[in-house]
Amino acid sequence: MNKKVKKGITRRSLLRYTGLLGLGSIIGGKLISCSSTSEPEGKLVKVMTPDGKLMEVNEDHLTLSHTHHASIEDSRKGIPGRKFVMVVDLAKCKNARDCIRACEHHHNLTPDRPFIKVLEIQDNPRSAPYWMPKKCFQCDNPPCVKVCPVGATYKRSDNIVLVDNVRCIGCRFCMAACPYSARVFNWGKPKQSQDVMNLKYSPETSTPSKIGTVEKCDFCPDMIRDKKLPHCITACPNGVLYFGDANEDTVTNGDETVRLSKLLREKAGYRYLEELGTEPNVYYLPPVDRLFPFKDTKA
Amino acid sequence: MINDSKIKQDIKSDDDKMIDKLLSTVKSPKAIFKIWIIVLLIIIGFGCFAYYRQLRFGLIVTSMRDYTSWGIYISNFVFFVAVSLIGSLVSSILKLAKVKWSYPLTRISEIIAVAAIICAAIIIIVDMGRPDRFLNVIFYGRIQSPIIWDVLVIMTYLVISLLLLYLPLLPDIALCRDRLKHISVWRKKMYKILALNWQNKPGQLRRLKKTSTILEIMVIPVAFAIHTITSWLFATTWRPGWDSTNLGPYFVSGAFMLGAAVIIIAMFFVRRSFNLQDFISNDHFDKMGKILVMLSLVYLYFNINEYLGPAFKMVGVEGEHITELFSGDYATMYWLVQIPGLMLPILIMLFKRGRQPFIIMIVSFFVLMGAWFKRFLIVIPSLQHPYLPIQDVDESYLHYYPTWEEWAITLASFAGVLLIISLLLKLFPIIPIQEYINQDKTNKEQTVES
Amino acid sequence: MKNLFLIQPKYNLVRKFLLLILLSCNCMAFSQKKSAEIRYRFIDDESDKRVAIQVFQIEGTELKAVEELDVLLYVERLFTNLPVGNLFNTTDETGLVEINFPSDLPGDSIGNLNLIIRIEDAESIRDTSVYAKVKWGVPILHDKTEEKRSLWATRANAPISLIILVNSLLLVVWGIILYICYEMYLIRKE
Repeated sequence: MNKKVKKGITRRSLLRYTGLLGLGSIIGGKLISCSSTSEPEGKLVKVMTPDGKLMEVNEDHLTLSHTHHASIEDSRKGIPGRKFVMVVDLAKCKNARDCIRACEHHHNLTPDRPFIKVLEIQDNPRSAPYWMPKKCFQCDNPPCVKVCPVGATYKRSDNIVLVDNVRCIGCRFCMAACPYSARVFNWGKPKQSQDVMNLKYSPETSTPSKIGTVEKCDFCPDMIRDKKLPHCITACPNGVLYFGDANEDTVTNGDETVRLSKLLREKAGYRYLEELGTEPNVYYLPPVDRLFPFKDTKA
Repeated sequence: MINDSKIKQDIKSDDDKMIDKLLSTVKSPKAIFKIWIIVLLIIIGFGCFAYYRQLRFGLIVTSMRDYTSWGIYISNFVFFVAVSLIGSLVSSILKLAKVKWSYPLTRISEIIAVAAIICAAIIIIVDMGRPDRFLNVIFYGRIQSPIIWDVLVIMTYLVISLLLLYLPLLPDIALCRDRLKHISVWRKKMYKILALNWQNKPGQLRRLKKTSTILEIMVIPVAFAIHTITSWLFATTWRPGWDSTNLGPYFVSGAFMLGAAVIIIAMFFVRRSFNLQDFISNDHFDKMGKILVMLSLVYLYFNINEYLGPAFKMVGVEGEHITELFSGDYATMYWLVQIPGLMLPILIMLFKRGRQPFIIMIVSFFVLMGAWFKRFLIVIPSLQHPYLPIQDVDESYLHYYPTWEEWAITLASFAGVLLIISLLLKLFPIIPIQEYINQDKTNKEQTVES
Repeated sequence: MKNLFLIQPKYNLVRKFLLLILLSCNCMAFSQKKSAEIRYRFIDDESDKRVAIQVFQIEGTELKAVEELDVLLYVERLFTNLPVGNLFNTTDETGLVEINFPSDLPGDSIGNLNLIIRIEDAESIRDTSVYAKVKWGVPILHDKTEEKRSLWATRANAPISLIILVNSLLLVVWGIILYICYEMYLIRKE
């Protein structure tokens, strides 16, 4: 009987040992993982991405956009101590147009009123064409601000030029004065949903749009106040757009962070139509050493 | 001596006849005048309906879009400001130069000037995207903006033109008050109030002469300023065709030419409608025509200056703009404006046959049409050639064909100008009576003495 | 007796089960990354500023230098962190690495910079971040350009020459107009 029991124990116990080892390791592993932070299982919410895809996200990962934007009075003062600039690397732009879609989504625009335009530019007949994303250059010597009769557009201490659509009279002199065609006008009643129309207007969000007034790229000050990058920067899949504070000498495209002075020096950054004297705050890096032929990027 | 007093009596009764004849224009309106006013009111009503549509749906009812962001409202505004310079030309420059034959025309020109500047102000409000916020211009006006300078100078010019119309009118209103018998009560009252107690006293005459001279001198720099500042709305931007140092003189010379053409047309129709053949003779047309030729030659000079420089260099978008005007989409309009609108009229008016009333009226009409389309060519093609290429936009963004609403409002503004002119011409004597009498008297006394 | 016999193997099982759990826990613990101690020193040679970082691995009560470890040095900026130094800053046998620090980085108004020394995705060391402050930044004085007089400033900050010119012209012309109105009033009174 002992022998029988011993034999049974040997084979069975082997099985038991391996099974228990497995179970033990699993429990041990679980105990270890318990010490690290675990994500709370929140409610799942359906959201739509800028590309129009529907997906479910944990509600706790969502933050309300446009939480921190200044009132109309306060939006005339800039974020203290900052001077925002943007750098556009023309060597990387592949005409993905994700920046346009993100901007359109977050400013509740329609395609006929783009804040960003991606233009096909060919400098001369022999050079290769390239894509140039163009938005408001937030000039330091802004022609649009000079000519506004009511001061509805103004330049702030942090380099940003905003439009106050509560004051704008719709004379469109700023549109005639801007040499970069950066501004768009609400000719008719802007197509926006009731939710958008119920939002509290701020020049820092440029939404909701108002009929008979002028709009343009605003460098998303509401995102900056939340220490987040403007929407176009993060939407670009090719890392074309860099944004940062020139006072900190740092720009980032969401992935890489570089020193602004180094970037402009090494890649020969220039400003568009520098000779006009508007002193833009958007720099362009020349479209050299491109890794893709232009014709493959045409829409 | 008896002869002298009899001659003086004759002169006096002649004066009375003259006065009566000149006052006849102010009498009850004929049927055709009423029909004319009704037609104008209908056109204005149509324009008001178009404006209502614009207020309701926004500026999208026009053909203006993000690139051609200014359209015929602005070119019409420039046109009316140009027409309003006629007041300073005839009432002050010619008057100060003591060009005697032009004296009968001063009131007509001042009336046209006032009507044009009022409608210019109205059309600018029509062009605003948010006219409900017009008061922002007063509350928040920025002194650095050329639009604010334009608002200030237009207000100043309007007030000066009104004064320049009103003050020399004082003696004639007094005549109306005293001599017109069969007129309505409200008109009698109006003359009484407006006459400012004028009794032809020497003190009053003295003050009148002093203030008139001051106004005449003051209106000249203000008139130059108003059109130069309007040109700065364009010259302070970076657009081909606008970014020109020549724009101020170019606009002012064009305005004077246009003013002379308008006065000729007005002379023709006023003379015919109000039977003023004795006061506006063919000689007036001849002389005014000579002035028009001279002003047109000055304008031609500035035209050549404006286009030769850019056409020689063909710089970037400026070159594209010039090509578009000379041989592109706008070539037909451009050459129609330059040749039948400017050069042919000069040629025709160089000859005496060309300065006969009917012919010169037709020629002036061509000059007027040419001037209106010239302002169209100044405003719109420049906006269609920005530095950055126009891409990825709707077809409607690439062209500018004014919609019916824009045409209706433009025609209504013209009708408005004509309405104000017609009403003022009917309410007040057209030829400055007192002055004419004085002038006639001095002429007759001179002949008697000789 | 039989019952005891039946119970005995079960009791054995439970004991072995507990032993196994303890064993597996220890196994996990042994393959666990170690925590690190980072010590840093600032070497200020005017234009040749360096940050000397030494990384130790905590083994019980001992500190063992970690070699061949990539250390990352960042300066805190508004949106992200600016990397300083080479692409790979590897420690030597003593766990020491010297990272060159640029001497022209802008700091805050008195030149402070917030540094982050980080170890990420290392084989034997857990992800660690150490925060430091150093006054190696160039102080940035915030100029108030928007308060200077210019054509693009607010109405109150227009250029003085423009304000004087426009106001004097308006005063002169409207003064004359008012004078004329006064003369008209006198005409009426006569």
